[in-house]
Amino acid sequence: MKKAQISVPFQWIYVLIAGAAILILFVSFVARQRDSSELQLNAEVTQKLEQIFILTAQTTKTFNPAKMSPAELHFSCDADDVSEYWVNSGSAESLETIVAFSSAKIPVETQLDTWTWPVDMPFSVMNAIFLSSPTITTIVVHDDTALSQTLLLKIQDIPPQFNFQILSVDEFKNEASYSLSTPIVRVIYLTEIDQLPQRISEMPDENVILLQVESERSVAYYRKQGAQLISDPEDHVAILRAADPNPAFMGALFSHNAEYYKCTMRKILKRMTLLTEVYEKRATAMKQQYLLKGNQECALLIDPLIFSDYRETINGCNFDQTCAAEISQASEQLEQRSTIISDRCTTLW
Amino acid sequence: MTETIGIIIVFSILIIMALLFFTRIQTNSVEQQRTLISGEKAVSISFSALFLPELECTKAGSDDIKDCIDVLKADAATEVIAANPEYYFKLFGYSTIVIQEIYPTPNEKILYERTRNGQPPTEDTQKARTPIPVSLYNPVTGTYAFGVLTIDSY
Repeated sequence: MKKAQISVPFQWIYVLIAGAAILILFVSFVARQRDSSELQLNAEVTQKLEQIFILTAQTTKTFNPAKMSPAELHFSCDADDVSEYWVNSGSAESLETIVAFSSAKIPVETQLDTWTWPVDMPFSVMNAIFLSSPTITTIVVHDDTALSQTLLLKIQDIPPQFNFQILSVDEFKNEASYSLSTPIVRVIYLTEIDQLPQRISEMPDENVILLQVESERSVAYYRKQGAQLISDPEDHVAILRAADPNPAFMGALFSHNAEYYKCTMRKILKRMTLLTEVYEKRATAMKQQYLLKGNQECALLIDPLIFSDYRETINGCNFDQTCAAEISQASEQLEQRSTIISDRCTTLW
Repeated sequence: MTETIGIIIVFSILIIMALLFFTRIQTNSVEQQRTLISGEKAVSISFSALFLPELECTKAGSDDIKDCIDVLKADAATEVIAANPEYYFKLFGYSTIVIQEIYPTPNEKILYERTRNGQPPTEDTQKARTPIPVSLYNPVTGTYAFGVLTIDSY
């Protein structure tokens, strides 16, 4: 074979190798670019969420529609008290000291709706944040019974910007009477649970959140499995009593399921436990200072043990009716005691 | 043949350079985002400390008093924070929080301290400092002092 005959196929081989190399470079460049922009988006949204959580610490009783890049937000809070959030498939960030009531997934298109409200039991514990988005339709189903109407009044404390659709049972059954174009639907029953309308029934199970408000003190969560609605005893939660709008009650409406709600409420109880320790020590110091000042009345009135008793009531509560009622009662007694003492001496917290 | 190879090599070098250039820009941008996030973390810690119910002054029948620290709460909180380091680490992260009384009796109290290397911070330790003027209130005597809440975030 002559030299010229060999060199022509070799030229083509070189061209092929070079072409492949260039192609690989381009593909890897595009892949890197995609990863990088995804990282950037995650960082941007995480930063925005951080800002929201910072604001939660200082502002209360505020509804804030936060503008945000399109992303899927995920929230988890489990039986082991591990609480996290993450953006798309990004890395998880801890949420263990933030009380955020939310569905497990919030697909954000342009806006994340946030509402903050203080938790006072009876002393200021922390601020709770309620999260939703216009991509979640919330339907409240009610009837004419006194209980349903009372509960409806409580739900109307929620800022109207959340766009809860208040429907009677008949309106809910008549699918033409309301729009349903969002990927996630939350149905809050203030009535007996009935069969789901076809449009909701056909939605993916994980995109439908169902709960029944049984009373001001009890909420039952349901899981959709095809056309069936399932609720186990552990899906029932008891609600702590507090002044309206009661964040413990509102939190149940925004939570994804009983596990998420209980876990989030345990964060409040944990902080309450720590605060009772602070107030017990403070009460002991106040008692001593009043004694030194010769103020026998205040020294007698202040009893540090009321905080340790309260702490014992709080510890180990997993939101069954008995312990929720005990905590609520102890909180009210503590408040009465504080009012008496603060009139003559100083506040207990 | 030699020219073809030469062109391919030069072309490849140009592409690699462009790729490196864009990658560097992207990395810098992500790094900037991270720096911004850590800066906000410092602000977050400052707010967490300032609005801590464990410290805030309260008066009967009114909301919490802003920028005011109850000294009896602060003393008690120091002990509780020391006894529950893991919980408060989630709130304050790597930082030092100091309550300093300026007037009338100068003194200071370290409320919380945790550094990245576990050693006490030195002058060279990199930090973002946020000093916040506060009033220090004793609820038994009803007296106020002037102080500064300083948060060093590492």
